[in-house]
Amino acid sequence: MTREEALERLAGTWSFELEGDRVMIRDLSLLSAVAAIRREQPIGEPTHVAAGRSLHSAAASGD
Amino acid sequence: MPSGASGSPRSPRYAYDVWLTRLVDAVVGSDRPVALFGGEPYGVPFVIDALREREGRVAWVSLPNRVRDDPVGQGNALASGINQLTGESLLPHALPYRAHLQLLRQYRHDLQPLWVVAANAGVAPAFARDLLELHDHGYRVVLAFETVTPPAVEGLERCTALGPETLCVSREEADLVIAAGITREHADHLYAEAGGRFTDLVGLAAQAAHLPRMPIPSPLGPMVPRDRGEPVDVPLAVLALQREGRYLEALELAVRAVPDMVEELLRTAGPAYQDEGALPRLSLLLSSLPQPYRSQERTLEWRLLAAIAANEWRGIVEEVDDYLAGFDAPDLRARRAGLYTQGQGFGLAEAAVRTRRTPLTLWQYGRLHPDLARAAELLKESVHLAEEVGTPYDVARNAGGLASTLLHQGQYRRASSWAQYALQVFDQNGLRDGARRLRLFNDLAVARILTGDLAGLRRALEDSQTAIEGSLPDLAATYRSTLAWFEQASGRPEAALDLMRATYDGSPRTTRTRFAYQLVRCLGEFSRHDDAGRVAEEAAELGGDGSEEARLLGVLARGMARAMAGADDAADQLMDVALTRDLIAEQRLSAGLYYLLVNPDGWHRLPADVVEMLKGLHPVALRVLSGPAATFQRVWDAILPVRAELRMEFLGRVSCRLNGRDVPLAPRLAEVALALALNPEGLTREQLNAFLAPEAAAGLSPSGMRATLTRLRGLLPVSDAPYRLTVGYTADILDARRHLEDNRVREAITLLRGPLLPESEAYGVEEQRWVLEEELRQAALAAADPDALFDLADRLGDDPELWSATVTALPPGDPRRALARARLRRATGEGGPYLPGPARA
Repeated sequence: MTREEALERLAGTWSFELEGDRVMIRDLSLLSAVAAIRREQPIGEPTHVAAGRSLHSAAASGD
Repeated sequence: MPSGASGSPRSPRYAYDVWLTRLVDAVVGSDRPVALFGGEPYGVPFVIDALREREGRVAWVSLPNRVRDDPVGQGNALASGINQLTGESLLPHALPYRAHLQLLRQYRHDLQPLWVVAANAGVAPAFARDLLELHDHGYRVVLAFETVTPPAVEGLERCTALGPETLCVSREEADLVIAAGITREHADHLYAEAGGRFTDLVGLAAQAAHLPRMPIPSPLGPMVPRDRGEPVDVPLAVLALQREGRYLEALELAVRAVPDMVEELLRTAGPAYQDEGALPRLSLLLSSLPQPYRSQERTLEWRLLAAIAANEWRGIVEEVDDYLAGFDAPDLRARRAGLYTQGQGFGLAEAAVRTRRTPLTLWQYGRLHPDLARAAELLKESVHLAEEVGTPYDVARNAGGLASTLLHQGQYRRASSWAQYALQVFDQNGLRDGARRLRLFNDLAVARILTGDLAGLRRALEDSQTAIEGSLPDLAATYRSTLAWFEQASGRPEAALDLMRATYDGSPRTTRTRFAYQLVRCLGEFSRHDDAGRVAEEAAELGGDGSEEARLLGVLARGMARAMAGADDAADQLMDVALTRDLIAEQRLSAGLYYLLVNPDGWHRLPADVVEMLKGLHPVALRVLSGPAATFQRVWDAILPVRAELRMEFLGRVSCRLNGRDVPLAPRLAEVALALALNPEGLTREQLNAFLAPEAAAGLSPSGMRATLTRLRGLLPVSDAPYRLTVGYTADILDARRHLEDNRVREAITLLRGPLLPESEAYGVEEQRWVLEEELRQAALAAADPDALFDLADRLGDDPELWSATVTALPPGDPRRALARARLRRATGEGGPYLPGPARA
């Protein structure tokens, strides 16, 4: 399946609406999780660095 | 939302009650299904939440956009809603929603009263249409649509439609919503601006009064209002979703906006997609990735696995092979091996496991190993490895693979233990892949039937088969054939024949041969040799997919039919099958049994492993794989230890065989035979009369008693007074009592095919019936065996003590727990809302 075919079939089925490089979140439990991650993130660390670190630690813990 | 005010009469909570009460009254008061139009702006989530508060038993089903055109995703949504309400894993995931609707119809008496509310129903028009049918089965159904006008959904005309004109807040109601202190003109302005839409009005009113905004209820928990959502960097949102265990959405978001997170995220999200039966969607998502992300190793592995599930793997194989030419990639190599036939795939699986021993590579290597004994050893190792370094899914898959291999080898007791273990791992870890669970359970059921352990199987087999009928045809056919074996084992050959006939006739030509020999077996029970011959010839001629296996199964059916007809050429055909080790043990054993029918002295010609398996077979397995007794007794006697001259069965049915011949017993004679069987030392005429007379009724006259005994003596050897049987005998009720004395409650319950002489009103029979049930009941309670308890509780009806013990004994995650809790609720007369069970591990 080509990338274009896949994107065409996925149209209208996305769970979130993107606004540029951001996503609008309304879910309170998810916003709490976002806040918790922000608290754990060292000041000045870019989000994608934190993301990579967290993904690795999640995998290592077998989460 | 709680009803009644707890504070200022102008507080929003009180004010909403007026509007909410009007709408909830309209929903509850409708004698038809209800359709709500307008979605969040018109306050629909508040109405559903208030309905849940008032009615208690409301399953709020959330249909996200991703389940559009996805019956399995829609089924998952329905299962989540129902399971969240019951606090148990009643409905499986990873099955099309029609399976869940079947189960809900089946369990209606246990679950109702129950509301099913589907939010965002416009995403799934066919699902919405089919959900409406639940109304005809006593459920209350509400469909909620985001649009203000009805979408194209069949069946909406039968609903009570509540649209904007009903949902809009009236001007008077608005005064209760808008805080005191706001001028009339300002309130008019706010009302006009909100257009009567409840959520909008509440938002504007809160803003005007400088109050915090009310969260919007949803099935997943409260949400901030639409205009108060927070924009979050996508990588952070992905992490938050992952932290919340929402792996499906996390991966979806990463695929769209941060593809460099996908490779790592697949460690957790891949198994989640697999567990939810969402691999076809995963295939789409990963195929939408740009290069180079779509060709990274783990992504490629999951693309392959997902494409196999979506039956689109041919388009990716070349890319996988190119990758494997340059890299070790053991897990990817093991997945690729599974796409070959056993012989071709074995080399690749061996190469994969040599590179690295992982739960996956070792499983695939064992699965494809040509030496079955070695295969079982490897699979056992793969279970140990999965327990050390793998996921629960790995453990369940590998243990299930081992069970399947042991079934193939005819090692039914070991297969039963490993299949049971796989299911325990599955349930106790909250795994949700319903299709895999059904396959595991089927293997467990086959192993247990062939070891004579039937406790607790009937309900689970029947429910599963009903659920998947029409939505998973192949699996449904497998379940029907397993149920047929169960019925054969339970002494209900008519039911077995009906099931096999339906399975055979309903199967496509290419798969019919799989079932032909079972149908021939079932026809043989009624000596319908001509029908059996026709089926066998038809299967051999029309059936099959051209494979050697299909040809041999045709030969097996034909050999069995011809053996029953006494044809000489049957022996050679059956020997061909018995010699073929690629066939499963059950088929080779059938060939062996029918071979011995035409060649009773041919033991030494049969393969040694078939002889060994035959000698280890449980008597129930002999009855399942061959019969009727009148034809096969000689073969069975050569396999089983010496039998009593007289065998009698009184539980659920009457059966009597004397020296290998059926003896028909009329109801009165069966009662006498039972009395004699229970009293080996003999009975006086008075004692026998007291046993036979209905309670508080006169017994037989002396001449009546004489006539009865004369008739019985014409059939069975009975002494003069004191009356007793003068040959060695066995009886199912005596076997059951012996099992109970030895604390073998499962075996005892297996013998309880039905009540003791169910039609009899004789005093002695009724007393023994009650005593036996009570003995079984006490034994099951003492043993706390979940299968035995569930089976007995299901048979004996509303027995609170049994159901309570069943709830306690069943492990968390077992789907029967929800039913047992519902039955306990019914048995104790509790009509209140569901009390959720303990949280699942």
